[in-house]
Amino acid sequence: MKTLTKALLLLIIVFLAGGFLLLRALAKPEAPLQPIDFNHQQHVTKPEGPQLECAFCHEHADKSPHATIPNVSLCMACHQVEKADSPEVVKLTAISDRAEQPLWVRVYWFDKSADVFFSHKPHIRAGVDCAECHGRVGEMTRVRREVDHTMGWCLDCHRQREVSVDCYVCHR
Amino acid sequence: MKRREFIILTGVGATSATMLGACGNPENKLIPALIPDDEYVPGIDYWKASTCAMCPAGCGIIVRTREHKANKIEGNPLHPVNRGALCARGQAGLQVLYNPDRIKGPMKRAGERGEGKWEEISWDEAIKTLADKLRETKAQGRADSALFVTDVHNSVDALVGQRFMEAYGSSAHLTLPQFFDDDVSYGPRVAFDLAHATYLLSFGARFLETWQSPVTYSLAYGAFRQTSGRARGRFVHVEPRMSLTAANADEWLPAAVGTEGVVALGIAQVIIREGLSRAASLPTFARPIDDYAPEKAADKTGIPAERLVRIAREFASAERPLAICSRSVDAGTAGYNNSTWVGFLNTLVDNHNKKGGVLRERDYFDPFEKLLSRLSDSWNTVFATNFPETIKGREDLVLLIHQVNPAYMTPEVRDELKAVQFIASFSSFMDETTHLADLILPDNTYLESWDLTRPFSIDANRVVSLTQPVVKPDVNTRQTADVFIALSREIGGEVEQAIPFTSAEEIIKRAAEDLAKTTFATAVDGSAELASLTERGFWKGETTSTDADAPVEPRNVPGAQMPKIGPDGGSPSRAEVEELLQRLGVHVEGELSSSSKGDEAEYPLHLLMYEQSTFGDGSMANLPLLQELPDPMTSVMWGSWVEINPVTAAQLGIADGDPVDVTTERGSVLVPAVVYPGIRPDVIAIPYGQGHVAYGRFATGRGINPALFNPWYQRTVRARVTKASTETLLIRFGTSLPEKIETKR
Amino acid sequence: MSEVDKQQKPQWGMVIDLDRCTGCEACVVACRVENNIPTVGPEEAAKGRVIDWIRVERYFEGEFPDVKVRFRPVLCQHCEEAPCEPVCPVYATYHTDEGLNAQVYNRCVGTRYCANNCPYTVRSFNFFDPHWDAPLDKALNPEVSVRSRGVMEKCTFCIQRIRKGEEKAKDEGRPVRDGDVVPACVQTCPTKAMYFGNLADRESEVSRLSKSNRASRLLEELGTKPRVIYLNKGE
Repeated sequence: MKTLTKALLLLIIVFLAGGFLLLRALAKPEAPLQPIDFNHQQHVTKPEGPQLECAFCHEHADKSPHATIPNVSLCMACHQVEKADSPEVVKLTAISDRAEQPLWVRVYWFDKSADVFFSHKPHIRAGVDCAECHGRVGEMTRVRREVDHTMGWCLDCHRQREVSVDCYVCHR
Repeated sequence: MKRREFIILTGVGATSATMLGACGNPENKLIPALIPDDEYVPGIDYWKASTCAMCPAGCGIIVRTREHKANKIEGNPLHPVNRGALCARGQAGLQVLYNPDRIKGPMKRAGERGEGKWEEISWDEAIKTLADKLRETKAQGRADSALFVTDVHNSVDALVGQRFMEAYGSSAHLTLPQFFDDDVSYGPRVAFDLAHATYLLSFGARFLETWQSPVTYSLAYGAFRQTSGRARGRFVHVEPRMSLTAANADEWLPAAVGTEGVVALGIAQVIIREGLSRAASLPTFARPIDDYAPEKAADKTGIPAERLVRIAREFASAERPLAICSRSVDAGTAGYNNSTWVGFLNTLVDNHNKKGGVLRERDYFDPFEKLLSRLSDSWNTVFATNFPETIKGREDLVLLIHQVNPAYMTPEVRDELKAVQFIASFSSFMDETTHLADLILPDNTYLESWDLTRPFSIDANRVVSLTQPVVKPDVNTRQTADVFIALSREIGGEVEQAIPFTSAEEIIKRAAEDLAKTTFATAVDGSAELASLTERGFWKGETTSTDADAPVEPRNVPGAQMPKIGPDGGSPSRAEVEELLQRLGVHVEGELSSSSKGDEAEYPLHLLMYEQSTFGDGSMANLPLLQELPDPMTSVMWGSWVEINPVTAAQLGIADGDPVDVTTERGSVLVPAVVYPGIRPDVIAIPYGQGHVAYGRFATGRGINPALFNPWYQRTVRARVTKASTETLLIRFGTSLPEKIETKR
Repeated sequence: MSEVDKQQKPQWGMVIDLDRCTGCEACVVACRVENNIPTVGPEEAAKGRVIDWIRVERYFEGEFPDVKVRFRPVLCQHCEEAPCEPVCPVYATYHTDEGLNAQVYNRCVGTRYCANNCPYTVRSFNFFDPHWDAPLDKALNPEVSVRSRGVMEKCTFCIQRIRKGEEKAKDEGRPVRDGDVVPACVQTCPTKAMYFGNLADRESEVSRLSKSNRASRLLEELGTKPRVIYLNKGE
């Protein structure tokens, strides 16, 4: 009897924990499908590609809280001509022609209720490499979340680099 | 997911909590807001310069915008009027822009007039409807039945509207002045160098709240009080009720209602009899001024003679004395002589065009002069201070109402308005007048409009301040000048030719370029003038008035000749006053009476109606920020109140917060009492601004409108107060701090 | 953090000149707009639930006609020995190394002990989730949290503006100067009665004014060591 209760209890715990992990994974899909199957690797690291710097497209990371997603007009600056008949570029061109923007799905974000006021600008100024927080996006064919932005993770880095860990640095 | 939800849900089970979290995270949808466009980079603040329109002072503002949304208004630190500062009203401006009760687009009446049923229409249809109505009226030979009613500002909207109506054939343009408190003893465009004065005598001029340009004068007041290396200025204020300004005075003189002029004359008499006058020559008096000696007038004014004598000596012997006066001391009670005598005090201490004295702006100019001048001299601007009389029995009228709300300011006009043929309203909000309209052509708010204003600055001459859109409207509204331009195209002919512009924006830009051609321009190139104007928000001519080399005698100060005083030693006769005023160029309005209207026995008290610092003429009552701002003197929020002296209240058995009936010849209202130590025992006071019957969710049905008792331009009526049995809620800002905190030195 | 490091951090403080203050309440509205402070409406206001990070107190003295009025803007005094801090069971309120009394909304569980222990009654509690009728919410400041139901809130000396001022100085490669940081209330003050700056910097305007013979601190006998200094009214 006693063992049965214990086993049942254990089963429930395992079930709950498993469900928690499973749904957590679903809650923030690590590599969501994007409206356009954009390939970072092709743009960044592929030897025969254009080998762009991150900041070429995410151009405001050093000036703004947001790194920003490029305006479709920036994509079209090259793709007007470059690979204009590839199926994904055709999709892109159609969006551009409608004067719209692709509805990209976010990979990294903070919940609004976390009250985090993160800004890229000071991190870039401090020389933090993009990959430290975003993983090696340049080698990915589809962007996948490689780093979990928990508060502990933020604090570890702040401590290592002897940056203030005052609450008011991020929360206000 | 919210933190609270999380705490609650962890009790239920972590799995279900995460499941909830998984569904449609809103952050996912924010990506479009992270894509920069030609105009902005996400996450970066863009500041845009413009001009505040929450009162007529014309302070410069800068508006912080991010991702096409405005999120803060601040004073423009470079602007000569307000040097970065801004008042409570100005700070609340975003709630005008983002007010939930804004009219979303043009509408026409669907039900009975005043029923509140509306049908949304397109701008084309709205303009055609009004054009048809105007064409039909003209075809019947009644073009002068069409009247354009606006406020007194020379805004681009009012000027284009005027031009349109003149070309159309209407005979006049009505201006229904808003509350605008200034010093009528001087002509317009006079400033008082309060910052450098050392002794200030104010007669009802609430310069920290509503008088002329409150932020400019607040800045000057700060310097007057504490400037290092200089003695603290002394300030005496004369007013029957202790206003916020009076509360800041070193001495408050609660003179009886309508006796401000007598107090001023008493001070003048002391200065003359003691030989303290600094004037080059003294006037000859038609009547001995000795009749106004403080000793003889103390009964009338309620100010002890010795106190007034002391103040007169202090004033006359001060290094830089200055006297200022409010328009309100002349409104409706004691005739028009009060302010004249205040101006006379400045003559006696000889402070015109001197540091710390009365300054006058030189070379008035109008930036729209070339572009929007009147077409002929026969065109009239009528100051419709008596609006009910003006439209009485005029069922033929076609009214185009812009920026004013006569049905609130003079509630008795509602029935007359209901009877007129047609009303088109240009209001941005559903208000009492718009509620009675047949057609609504909603205007942009000031944060979406173009305009040029000529604000007055103490420090600088010839300032032009720019109003430019800081955001694009989210609703389908249009600036009124643009509507008149479209209307002129629709009607065609002379009307179209009279307005050779495509938009308000074009008019403003051309006027700005014209500024460069003025003799006092700082840049020679028109486009440079425009660029600097759009970037900085204002334009300033190069000279300042403080060091004016050619002193100008202020217009209305009795100089060499002392005007006559009436035979009874009290108020002069109406004819005398009118003659005097004409000579002095003082603007006459309203009825002349020597005391508050009403029977003294039945109505023993004077009911004073005043402009509260935040609500103004009532048009600010729909802003929740200001509704929930405690009145600085009484701490009341979200409603009206009547102030009663503690002695009077005790006699009437009224306690603080009790509901009372305030009754005048025109009826009675129920309002909570505030027992207020800063008011004369024979005076009670109710502020304007509340008591709206149709003005959106935040203002409607809140408090009472004292204009019910009286046309708004009169200051007092006779009244009585009785305790009422009906409950009425008085909401006040509360704090549990002990009543008095005295700090140790 | 060592004592030396602490010296290098700015120590923020405010000076309010009561002789210049007119009680106009422009600071109150500026604060509400800058810091996303909701209006609670008449029903809640009647229950004393108005949220204000700064208020203007008004005191009548004397009887008619010799009535005197005094005004005093009261905000969080950012006490060096803050009575609110030790009573918080979850460390939601603490002292930063810049001398600010901070409130961490994520940690706050709403015991309201801090408000009970504050002698200045400058802490406001969110009895409800804040609400703005659309589109009033468009005017919310994206740099400041919107606090949820059940948390305590109070003046932060406009921490977001402090951060911006520091950021600007960093951009220009220089230390923070006097005047770089201006909270919303100080910025708007129509009589320039309020000053803000680094009390650790002897050259700053607030340091200079804090040595005035008119200077005093509110309820200083309690030993809270406020960082807000009042300059008494002249006579």
